[in-house]
Formats: sequence, C-alpha cells, structure tokens
Amino acid sequence: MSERGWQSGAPGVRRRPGAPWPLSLAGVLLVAYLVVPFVFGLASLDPTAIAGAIRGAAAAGAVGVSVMTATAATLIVVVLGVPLAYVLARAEFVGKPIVNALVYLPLVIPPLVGGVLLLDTFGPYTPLGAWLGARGVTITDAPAGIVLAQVFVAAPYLVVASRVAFEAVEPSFEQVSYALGRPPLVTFLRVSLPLAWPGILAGVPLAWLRALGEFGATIMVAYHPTTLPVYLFVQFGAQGLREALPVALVLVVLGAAVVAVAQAAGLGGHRPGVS
Amino acid sequence: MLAVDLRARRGSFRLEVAFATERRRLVLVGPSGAGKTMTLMCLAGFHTPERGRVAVGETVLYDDRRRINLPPWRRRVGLVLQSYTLLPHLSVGGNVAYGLARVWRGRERVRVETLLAAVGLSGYAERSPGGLSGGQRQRVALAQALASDPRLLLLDEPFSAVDAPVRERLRRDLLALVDAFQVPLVFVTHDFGEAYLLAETLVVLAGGRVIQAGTPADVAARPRTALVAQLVGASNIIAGTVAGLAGTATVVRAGPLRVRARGDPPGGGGPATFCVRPADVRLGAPTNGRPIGTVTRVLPRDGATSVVLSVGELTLEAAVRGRPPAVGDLVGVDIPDGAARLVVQDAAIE
Repeated sequence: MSERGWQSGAPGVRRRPGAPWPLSLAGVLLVAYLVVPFVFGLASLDPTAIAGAIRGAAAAGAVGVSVMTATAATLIVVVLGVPLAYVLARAEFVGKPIVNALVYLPLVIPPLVGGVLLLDTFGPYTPLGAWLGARGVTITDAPAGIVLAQVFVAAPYLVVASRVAFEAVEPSFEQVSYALGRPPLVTFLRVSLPLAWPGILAGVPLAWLRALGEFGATIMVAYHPTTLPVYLFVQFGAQGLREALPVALVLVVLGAAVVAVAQAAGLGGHRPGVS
Repeated sequence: MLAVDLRARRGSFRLEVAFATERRRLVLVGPSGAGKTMTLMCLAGFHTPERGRVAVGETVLYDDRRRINLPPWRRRVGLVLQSYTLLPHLSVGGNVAYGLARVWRGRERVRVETLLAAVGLSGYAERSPGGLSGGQRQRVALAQALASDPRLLLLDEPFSAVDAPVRERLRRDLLALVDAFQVPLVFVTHDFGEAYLLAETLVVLAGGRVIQAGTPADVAARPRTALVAQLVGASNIIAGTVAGLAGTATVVRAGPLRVRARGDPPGGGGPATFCVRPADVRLGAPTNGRPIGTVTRVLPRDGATSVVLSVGELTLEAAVRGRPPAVGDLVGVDIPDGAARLVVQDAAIE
C-alpha cells in the first residue's frame, strides 16, 4: 500500500499535485511587487485625510461619473467589440493581419496622444464635431467625451479576450449548425456566442477596470464632468500628493469590488466550456 | 440518387473524383489523406470546388457551369462527425430540437421524443451530452441530423472513437435508421470491414482519386490495384513477370513461385503484380517440386494463425487454421489456381 504516488492521504481522497515551487515563487514575487507599493503608500495615509478625500470625491460627483461612464463604455465595447472579435476569429479577408494589429494600437500609443487624436476628430472645431454640435451632441467636456476616451483605451482588452474565446470554439460545432440549416447569424447567436461566452466575460472586467482608471485621454477630451482619475489629478495640482493619494484608495476599492463581483458571478478565469 | 463530379484543391492537394449511385448507401473508403473528408466537405458546402457538379436526386447542390453553389445552410445535409457534433451548452433534447426542420414547429416535443426513440434513447431528452457515453453521443448526433429532414446524411468516421462492441451495434442500427427514414447516406471510413457492412455502393479513394468503385462484394473479390488489394485483405502483393497464358489465366513467375492469376493481363510479357489472401496460401510438407518457404514469424490471430514465410527473396503471409508450424520450420507453399489476382501498381494510375 506504499506505492500510491501522489494520490496519498485518506483512502478515496484524491490530492491534486500542487504547483511546482519555482512557479509558486515567481507568482509570489510578482504579487509582492504589485501589492507592496500600495501597502507602503496607503499606510502613510492619515485616516482623516482618507475620510476627507472620500467626501471630496463624492461631493465632486466623481465616483458616480466614473462608475456610469466606465459602465457605458464597457457596454459599447461589448456590443461593438464582440462582433469584431468574431470576424477576426473566423472570417478570411484581405488586410486581416492589419486589422488585427490595429486593435492593439490603443495599447501602444500613450493615452494622452489618444486624447489629442480624439479631439482632432470630435473637437468642436472639427467637421465631425461641428456636425454633431449642430445636432445638440457635445463631445468635449461632456460624459460622451469621457465614454469615447474610455472606449478607445478599453476596447483592445475585450476584443483580444473575445477573439481568443471564439478561436477556441471548435469549428465543427458551427459546421454542424450550418448543416442543420441554421444561417450564419443564427449560428453565431445560438452556437458560437454561447460557447465563447465565458471567455468573453473574462474580458469584461478587464475593459471596465481599464475604463475606470482611464486618465490620459479623458483629461484631453473631457476635463468635466470630473472622473475619479481626473479628480485625483486636480487634487494633486491644488493640494499636493498627500491630499491626492487617498483618492486612489477609492479607485482601488471600486475596482476590487467589481473584481469580487465578477469572480463571484463566475466571470473571468473561465476557459470556454468546450471539451 | 447521388451524382458527384468534383475537382477541388486545398494547398497542394488535388481532389478529382466522380461517382454516382442509384442506391441509398454509399461508402467512401480509403487510407488517411485520400481525400475522403474533403469530398464530404465539398458535398456539405464547406469547401468550394473549382469545377464540377453535385446533385442529390433532382436537387443540384453545386454546378459550376450553371453557377449554382448552395451555401451549407440551404443544402439540408445532416452532418455527423467523429466528435464535436453535439452542442455542449444544450441538453440532449435541445440538441435534437436545434436541428428540427420548420415543418415540425408546434410539434417539437413529440418529434424530439420520436427521434430519440428511433436511436434507442427514449427519455434522455433532459440529459446533458457530457454525461453520455461515446456511443450514446453518436446516437444523439444521428437523431439531431435526422431532425432536419435531410436530403442526404453525411457521416465522417462517426464510430471510430467508440469501443468495438458498441461500434458493431451502432453500424447495424444505422442500417435500420437509413431504411426507416429513407435518407441517402454517404459514409466515410478507413475501415474496409465497416465499409463492407454499410455500403451498397463502395467508392475507394486514394491520393485524391477514385481508384475503384462497385458493390462491396465485387471490390473485395476483384481488387483492381495493389492498394485496394491491401484494403480488402489480400495482403500478399507480389511483383513478378508474365511467363505466359493458360486459358483465361495469366501465368506469373515471382522468385520460386509460379501462379496462375486471374484478372486483366497487362499488355506484353513484362512485369506483373498479383495479390493473394493469406487464407488462400496453402502450406504443406516440403516435398520436391513445390516452392519451399522458411517460417520466420508465427502470430496468433483471431480464428487463424498468421504465419510469415520467406520464400526465396519473397515474403508471404499465410493464415493457417489448425496446428501452425514453428519458426524455422521448412514448409511447402502452394497457391491454388485462381487464388492469385492480377492488380495494377498504384503508381501506374497516377
């Protein structure tokens, strides 16, 4: 009874082999690097300053603006990004590698530059901005501008996650659906989308968090209404680092709440359920 | 019933096949890489040929001259693959219902139950496909394919991943289903035994070409090429030279062997290849006047013993019933008249 390999322990209880220690070590190192600055930074804060910062951010309406715009931006990214991801995963067309690379573009350019580009496109003195303005749609210094800036930076996360999820769907499922007389759109909605859904959902918190933390493009396009990152910057300019840093705590708490909700809902961390 | 004439290419692979049948069950058989699955994909509409025509009864699915190329979702072909056929996010009943043709609207539940009963899975509608055995999954896949009232069933090695005893049942049940639903079947396999059981018309593919077509009995009795001979179990394929004619038979000399082979004689008196089934190779006492072989290997098989011999430069396999000789024994080899059959070397038909 000695040779039971890694299935040791109580009879009938299977113990899974843990991760090899070098992997665990690498993981611990990275987590420490990510967490330690927060610990030191936040430990230096004065509790009354935290309370003041939270009150201030709330008074400026920054929490509400950030949550609403990040949520709106994520919805837009999902509605437009999932179809794009499917096209990139399945369709063959000329220039596909170029479109594939373009999706990564917002990750490469500094968000500040992205903001300038958005201003050059939607600013009040551009043809498109003037056309929209004449119809009562303001982009700059408006929630619409914030959402545009957030969509710009958050889209790649969702598109890449969704594309990988669609690519992992066994093509034969779609073939069988076609053979059963279901045209492409029906097959997409009833076969490809449900099978890729867990992977797509893994991209949703990523996009939302990136939208929530978005600063560079936002401050170019819409200084008002104030989002949390912009509020943090304003506090920094007016009162210095000690007064600004507590605002970051609000962002961290909001982000942690969303990640917790996402994990509890079984989003994220799932692989497409295909076997 | 089915008429296929296709030229297609994929990368450097070229497919050029033509076959037709008035029978209900057609089996495409051949080694891997023969073009069987690609032919099926052309029939289902997932691969567009360069040229040709595909018709099921009166319905033309593809015809390059008339510019007809129905998309897969308009072809009404039921597709069953080796795996990945059932949708994992739907129940068994959901999978069958997903395939239902419009005419069954309003009667979905009854029809799904009827189809599940037809494949022997009554009462399984609420189950998840993940909880089924491999054989059960393929039964559900058949029910799903039949649900669309297909004009053609396309099955690509559907039973290859199933345990052997279950596979045998599935094959028989498939025969009954095809008769009950009166739906034409194109079945792809590399297993000649399976092909023999299921086919009314057998089409042997290799290298993207049809190398022989006919009834299974005809193909088994008269393999045209060395590859078909191999496939049907006439696994002794021996190259020799024509030594003359004896009535309708051709006398071929190969090493110490001299056989009277049936089949079409090759032109002239040059090289000739013949095939012999191991069961037709007779072994006896090593007496004078008959070729002598040395036993090099003895392999127990189901029903008979496979005895491998060296006869001069040749290697021969004999299937022996009763007491087999031992390795190293000398035996007399006899290939009775008519047991050998002339075949064409496959390289010659390229």
